Amino acid sequence: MVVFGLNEPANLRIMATTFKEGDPSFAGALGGIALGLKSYHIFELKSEIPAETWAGEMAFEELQTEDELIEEICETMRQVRGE
Amino acid sequence: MLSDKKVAVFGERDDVTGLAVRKCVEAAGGEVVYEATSCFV
Repeated sequence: MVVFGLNEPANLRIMATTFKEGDPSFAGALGGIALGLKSYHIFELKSEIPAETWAGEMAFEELQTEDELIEEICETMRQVRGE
Repeated sequence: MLSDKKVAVFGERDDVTGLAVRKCVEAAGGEVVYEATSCFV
C-alpha cells in the first residue's frame, strides 16, 4: 500500500490513480501499468497510529491544516479507492 | 490495516514529511519499503 503526506488534492488524485490504474497521462514509466495498489493519506490513518507517536509527529501539522482541506483530502482518497 | 503491511511513503517538504509518515507507519506495525520527501511547489 501507499501512504501520502502531501496535502494537495489534485496531486494526490494523480499519484493515487497512477499507483492503482497506471499513469493517466501516459507520460511516465507507469503509463498503462496498473499496479492495483491502495493509497491512503496519513490523516486517514490517525486511528491506527499510537497516540504518543501521533502527538509527536502529526499533531502540529493537523492543527495547521484547515478541517475543510483535511476532509477534501480524505474524500479524494476515498474516490480514487472507489469507496 | 497497517500491521505487517509493506508500505511506500511519499511525503512533502512543506506538508507532512516522509520521515514523519514513516515513524507513524512503523509505530502502527507497518514495514516501510520506500520513503521519499518531495517538494511540489
